[in-house]
Amino acid sequence: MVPPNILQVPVLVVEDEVLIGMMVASILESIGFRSVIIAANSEQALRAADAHDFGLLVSDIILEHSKLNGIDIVVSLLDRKPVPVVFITAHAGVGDLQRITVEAPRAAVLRKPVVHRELNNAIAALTETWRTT
Amino acid sequence: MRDIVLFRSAWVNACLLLVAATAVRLSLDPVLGDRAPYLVFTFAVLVAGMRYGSLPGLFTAAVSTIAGLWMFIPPRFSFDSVSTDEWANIVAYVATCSAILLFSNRYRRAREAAVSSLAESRAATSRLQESQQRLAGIVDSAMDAIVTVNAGQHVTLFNPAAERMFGYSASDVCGQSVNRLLPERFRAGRDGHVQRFRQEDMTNRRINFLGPIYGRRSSGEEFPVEASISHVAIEGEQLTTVILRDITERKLNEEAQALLVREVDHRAKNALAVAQALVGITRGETIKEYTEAVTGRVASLARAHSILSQSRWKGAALSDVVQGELGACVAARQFVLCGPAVSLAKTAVQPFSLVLHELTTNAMRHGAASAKTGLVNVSWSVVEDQLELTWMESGGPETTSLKQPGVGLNLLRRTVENQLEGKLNLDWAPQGLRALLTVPSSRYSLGSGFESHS
Repeated sequence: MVPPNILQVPVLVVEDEVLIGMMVASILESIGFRSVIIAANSEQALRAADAHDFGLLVSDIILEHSKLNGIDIVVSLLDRKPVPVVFITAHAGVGDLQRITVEAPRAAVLRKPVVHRELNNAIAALTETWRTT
Repeated sequence: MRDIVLFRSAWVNACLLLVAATAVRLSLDPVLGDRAPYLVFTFAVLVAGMRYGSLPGLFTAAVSTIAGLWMFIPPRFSFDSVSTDEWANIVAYVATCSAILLFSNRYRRAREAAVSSLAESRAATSRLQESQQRLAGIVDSAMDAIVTVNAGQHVTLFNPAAERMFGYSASDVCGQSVNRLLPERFRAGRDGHVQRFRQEDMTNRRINFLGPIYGRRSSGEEFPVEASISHVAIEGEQLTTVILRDITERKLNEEAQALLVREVDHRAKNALAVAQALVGITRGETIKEYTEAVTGRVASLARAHSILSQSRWKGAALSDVVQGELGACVAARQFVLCGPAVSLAKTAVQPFSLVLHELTTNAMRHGAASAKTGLVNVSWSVVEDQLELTWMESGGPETTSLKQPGVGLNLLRRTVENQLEGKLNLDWAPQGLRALLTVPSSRYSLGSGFESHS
């Protein structure tokens, strides 16, 4: 279970395919998150991060029409404030995964297409470790 | 024919010899008198036996015996009262003739045998030459490189294909060490190619199962080869022949194939993820409504994919996309398209299809396309580096703004604003919905790269 206090924080979903972004958002809403913002590229994501104090990041890795890829965006947002991160990717390379283990070691990585249970379990596990450290 | 002529002439010649011998003996009569009646005939028999064979020789001997008896043994020109001495003469002559004929027969046979063995060896030589030429022809014209190495690891044969493959001429390489044809790391040691070739127990086999083999061109470039090998011992010398095929191109093809498979895999996964998302976000009051909405959106996705695949995923003509979405649901007389040739970027085709699908579905359910007199007018133009698409409905039922933004409207806005980074303006005018869609230049290009409708 995702602790109730976590559900109050705004969530940023970075996904260039809007349909998938909307589906991830609807899963997050069904988990109980109150505020989910969708961004399709790095500009939208960084602009949204200026306006909101996100407590959870859910990001794709390869982004079309974006200056930065998902890992770059997450790393720059983690510099501002460390928060739990979930990566959702269809075909990330080994290099991407290595980068994640170095630059965002606590991030969870899920394979597309993602389903409700997987995302729920990943967020629950992340917030659990987050509280105990 | 020629044999018969020869045969005939042998008998004729034997007769001529007899006549000549008789004439000579007659001409010698003043000198010899009754002595040596068969002297000249002995030579005739010798010549006939040697030259024309045993039978003409026998014939000559027989005739000359009788002729000599009749003409030169007294009493002349008669067979009467021959003395004992003369009989001894005749017997001696017959014995001499037999010896001559026996000898000449042996002689002829030996000569024939020598001639035929000479001819045979000539034929064998020419056969050998022919087979060598044929082999050389095969070696020279082979597409595969053929390299023969002796026990001292020196090259003894280097065919034209090998010259082309390695970039050396045969004269550069023959007599030299095979090492210059191998990359440095394979030259010496236990794992060296040559060592491996030698260790093969079998006479003939492919050697690639031991791992990849590489050659080295004169330029220093390494290239992968497929090789088969044969060992032959000729006159005590161990020769190793390697047949090589350059597989650089095949390897490249295999890599391209693998890349294509990965690409197709990516696209299929992506399409499935999008379809799954569509199913996940679609809502409906009833199961029927829900099913219709899902199948409609998935069909739009499928149309976007087939348009994209026609251009090999480079993009699509805007008119094709609009035509595809409206044409799938609305009668042709109920919509009009107008605009310059514009090509959508590959990343914009699917979002555009979806946006037009949502607008079309709305027109079918609440707008102009729900009435027989309704008309949908879609026009587009490029204004200040932005693509502006106007969707104008008329002739339908009087429209009212939606009370609550449904999934369709939400999808429409998010797709335009997030994914296409554009703007969407919806105006529910009394005569029908008027939508203005503005998209930045990164999502389209002017011109008809993919136009198929006029």
